[in-house]
Amino acid sequence: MEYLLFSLVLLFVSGLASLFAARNRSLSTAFAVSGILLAAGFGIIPVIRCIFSGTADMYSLPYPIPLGRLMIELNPLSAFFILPTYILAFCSALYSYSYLHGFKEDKSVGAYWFFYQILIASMILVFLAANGIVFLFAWEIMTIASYFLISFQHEKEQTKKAGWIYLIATHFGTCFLLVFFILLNQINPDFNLSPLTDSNVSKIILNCLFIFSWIGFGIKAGMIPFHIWLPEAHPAAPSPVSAVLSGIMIKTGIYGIMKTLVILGNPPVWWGWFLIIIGSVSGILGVLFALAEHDLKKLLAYHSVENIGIITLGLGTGLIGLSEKNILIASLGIGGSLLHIFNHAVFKSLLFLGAGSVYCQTHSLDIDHSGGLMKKMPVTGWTFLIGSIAISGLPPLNGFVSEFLIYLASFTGMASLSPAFIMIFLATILSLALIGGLALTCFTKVFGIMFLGESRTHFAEPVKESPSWMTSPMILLSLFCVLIGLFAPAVFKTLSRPILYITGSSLSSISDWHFIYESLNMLSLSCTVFLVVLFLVILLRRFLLSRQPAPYKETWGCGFLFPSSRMQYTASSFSDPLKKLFQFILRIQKTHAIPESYFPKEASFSTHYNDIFNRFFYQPVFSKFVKITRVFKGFQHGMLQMYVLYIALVLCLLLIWKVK
Amino acid sequence: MNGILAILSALIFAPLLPGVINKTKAFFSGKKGPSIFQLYYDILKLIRKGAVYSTTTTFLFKTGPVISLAAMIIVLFLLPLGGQPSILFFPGDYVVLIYFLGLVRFFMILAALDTGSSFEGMGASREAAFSTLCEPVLFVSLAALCKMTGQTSLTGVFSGIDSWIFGNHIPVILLILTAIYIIYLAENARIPVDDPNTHLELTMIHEVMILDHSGPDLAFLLYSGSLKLWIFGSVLSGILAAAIPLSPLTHFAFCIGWLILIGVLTGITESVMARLKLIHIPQLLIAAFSFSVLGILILLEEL
Amino acid sequence: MKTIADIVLMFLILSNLAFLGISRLKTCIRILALQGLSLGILPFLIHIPAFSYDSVLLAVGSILLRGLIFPYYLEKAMRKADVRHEVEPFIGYSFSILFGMGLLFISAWLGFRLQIPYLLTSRLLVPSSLFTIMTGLFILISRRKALSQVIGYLVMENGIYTLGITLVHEQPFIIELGILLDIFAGVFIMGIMIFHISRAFDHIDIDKLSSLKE
Repeated sequence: MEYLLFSLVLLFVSGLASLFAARNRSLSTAFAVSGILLAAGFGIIPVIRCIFSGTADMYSLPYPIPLGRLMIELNPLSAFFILPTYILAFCSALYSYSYLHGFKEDKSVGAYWFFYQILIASMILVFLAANGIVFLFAWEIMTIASYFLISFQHEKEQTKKAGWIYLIATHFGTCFLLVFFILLNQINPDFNLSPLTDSNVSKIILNCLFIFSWIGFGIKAGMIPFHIWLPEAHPAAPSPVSAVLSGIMIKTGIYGIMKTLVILGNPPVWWGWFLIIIGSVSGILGVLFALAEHDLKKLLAYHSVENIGIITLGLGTGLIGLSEKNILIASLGIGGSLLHIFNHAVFKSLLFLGAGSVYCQTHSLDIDHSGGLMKKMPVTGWTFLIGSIAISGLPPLNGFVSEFLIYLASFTGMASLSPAFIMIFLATILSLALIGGLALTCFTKVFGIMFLGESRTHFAEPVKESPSWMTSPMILLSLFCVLIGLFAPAVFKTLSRPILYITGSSLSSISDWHFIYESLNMLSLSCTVFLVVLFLVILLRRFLLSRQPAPYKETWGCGFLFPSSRMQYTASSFSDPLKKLFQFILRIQKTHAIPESYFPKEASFSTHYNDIFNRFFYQPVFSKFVKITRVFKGFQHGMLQMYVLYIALVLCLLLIWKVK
Repeated sequence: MNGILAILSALIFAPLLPGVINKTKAFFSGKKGPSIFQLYYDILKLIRKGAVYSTTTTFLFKTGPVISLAAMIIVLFLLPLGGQPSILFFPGDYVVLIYFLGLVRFFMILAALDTGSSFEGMGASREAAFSTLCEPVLFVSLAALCKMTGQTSLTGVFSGIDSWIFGNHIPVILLILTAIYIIYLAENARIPVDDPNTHLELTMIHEVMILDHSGPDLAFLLYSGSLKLWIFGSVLSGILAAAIPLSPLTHFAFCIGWLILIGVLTGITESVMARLKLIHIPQLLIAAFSFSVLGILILLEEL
Repeated sequence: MKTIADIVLMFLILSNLAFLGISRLKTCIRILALQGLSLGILPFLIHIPAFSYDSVLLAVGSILLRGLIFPYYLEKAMRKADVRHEVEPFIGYSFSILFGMGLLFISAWLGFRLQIPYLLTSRLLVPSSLFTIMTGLFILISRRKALSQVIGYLVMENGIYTLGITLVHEQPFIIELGILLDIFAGVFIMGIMIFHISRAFDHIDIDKLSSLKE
């Protein structure tokens, strides 16, 4: 535990150091990166020990704070969330080193590093907090730090707006969290975050707590319908920041929900139903919106919504297992959900880093503008490919393992639980299958259009591979993708403590798990066999081709003689059949100018996608809100004297009220 | 041992299935038609040839056929045939099976996009769209079978459907068979979804995606295409063959018989039907989806 | 018995889904005829004492009217009014089918919860009849052509019939025959009406009829 505290202090100090050394760019960066490296090195020791041993470590600082004690606790669940935090913090920091070179000299690197370190430290503190006050404190620092990082390029109008949306959305969530913690304080005194001991708390309070935690944490996690800030904030933030935000910060929301479940204990069955429905809506709509999107980082942001959906689906299945006292389904569902949290942290940050690498070279994030990058940026291309396969949930990589666990949970639930649950498990299976198919389409679109074919636009500067500071974190992350995919049973073993912590069951129930291990062993065996067969087939192909020449010619144009790279299929046309099919949800707007007369001069066609929640809910509601609040605008006119008058008036009123 | 026999028989006899389908079609149109062994000849011819590659392509173009073949072979490892357990069977193996087919799709689409040709892009786009709709149907059908037998592995499901269960759940099984048959047609690029004989703009889905492949690559694709027919056919025949209790050897023969019959049925379907308009294909797949969901509903009632 | 009843009800549900997804009116009418025929044999299948004279009467009446006479009239009306397709329905076909699935789930949920006081062969009866009624209503709401409206009306009636023979165990046939007669007259009149409307307006889109309200 001391190691962890030391690591937090180290992060803070190195952040300050790089803030003060801001004049000298490389010195500032060196402080920050070495600070993170050391902090990760120290912090990861107790974390790994905790994940494997499963013992919780409580630490109470001897300073009193209002309304409670300064308490932090390292338990298997928080350790499980802290582990990817360190990994990603380190990878993104390495990456930022090169990425920041792209900015002009007058940009303060010091501020970036300061807020970066603060963000990492506060996220770890959120995971450690054992007291509501500490939790909220860390939560707010995290929000502020991430706000500053998102609006790092605040000179752009778009970025400023995105930062505001993020701040408003997340404070809306904090609002609910405040109510949540106050309510929790009624039944769990001293803002304690330990499991409830009092078993006869009224059902209504428990349900209220659950709903408040869903809204409060759901906004941070980006569940639909609260996802609205994600597609705004991610494109605005610098890529390494997006990686950390999407990889870890939105998971603090999931952590919050999981923690709530641990605190409340014994979930009623409708929580499971509710989470599954929310999860499937988030998952399916998230990936559908991503399909309609052309901006790479917005697309990735929508995929975060989708993956949060998958995580929620797993959690919901687990809850149904828990409430039905079926520990096997519970561990499968929650295990799948936890593993997907880690997996998503790995592959989503990998993809964001890849997007940043592309952006540094082409200065465009529009998928339709690029093409043929694979040849020019092979390392980025390879790692992006691995990330795409992983996020599409395809074997033999990591994304598949977690989805497989959730599938297995629902199929087992279907076969062994009562028929009343068929429909909800069917919904899980259906949404997973649909999400899988749509995600596959979406990432073949991204990868195929961006990295394959020929370049669609002419770039001013020649595109080349990014420097190794940027590529090496990507390689590291893609290694994680492959290893988790191939060593699924071992990975599940490390998950066992966090799962037991959430399910609240003892070690003895692990005997049930031979079923899971048997399945995962065979899964990794089939993946290995697949790789062996693949190798053999490649050898066969080599052998067959070695006897004959394999000349290179132009792509066959089906008889057309003047092909141009603009004639290639674009991302919008690629996803068109599915977009048409789901038009009743997506409501994509089309604008076109039809060519007219015999010698047409101009013709254009463009599709525009505006998030339906934005278009049909948030925008109307907020514009109404603005109209209503315009009444108050008269009070806000900037005259100092009037403000003093207000203060005086309020003082008088208060006095009168009190004295009376 | 039996599992290896099943894999070997698939590897050896799979190219017969397209031959059977084509023979049936030829019979219906009153022609003699190509030999039933035509695909063997084609593959042998192609692997003796060299290949031509486009200058636009990267290594991904070459991985398409290779991954396709390797994944089909691993799927054969997971697929029980003739009442025998598959070599690799475990809870949830059908999820792995379907997702390996997804992996094939992923790389085939990338290989098509890699050429930079808009024809292949079009095929890839359609393939992606229609297969996305196929996957849920397969999952729902398997879920129904799982619930019916209380098993969670493909081997368990197929050996779990005995004649008693079959007799009690005839409506459900009929619905699920229909659903899987539609998916079998769609996934294998048969009429009414796609026309395997042409790659004109109107029909181009699967055939146009492999337009630029040549030599051994094309041979791999054709071969894995026939394996895919075999795989989907075996799922159907695995359910059908469960109707009558049989000794292992006759069961095996029965399954093979059903496979060939399904081939003939495909030929008949192709002969009597026209290809659907592209905009109607989603409707067909949604219909398949409603078959499978209806199957689950009726199952719910029967439990 | 149960299996056959299940298959008939399965066909009933599937044909309802088909109405939602098919635009060719001729096919719709054919399916309607098949639905009528299959409903005709349903009375023999659903109750445990299978055979009674009531059910014979009911079956014959149903097969004659639903299976033969109504479709015949509808086809005649279709040919006279010269409409083949339901063009541009208010709700698209793919979405209609999906919506139909939603209705199916709702009716299954309702149907499995209703307590039927006596023994039926198939628990599917109530859900499928509810679903048929809902489908009929949905067609009435979502389609434009007057002919489709009539089809929707008949589908709804089929649902009521199925629910009727399920619920009213003892004496359904008098009520049912009364309803059938009403419908018969109704279809007859509508057939004539459609013909006249189409002659007067050149189309049978009913949303245009709202201009007549003054």
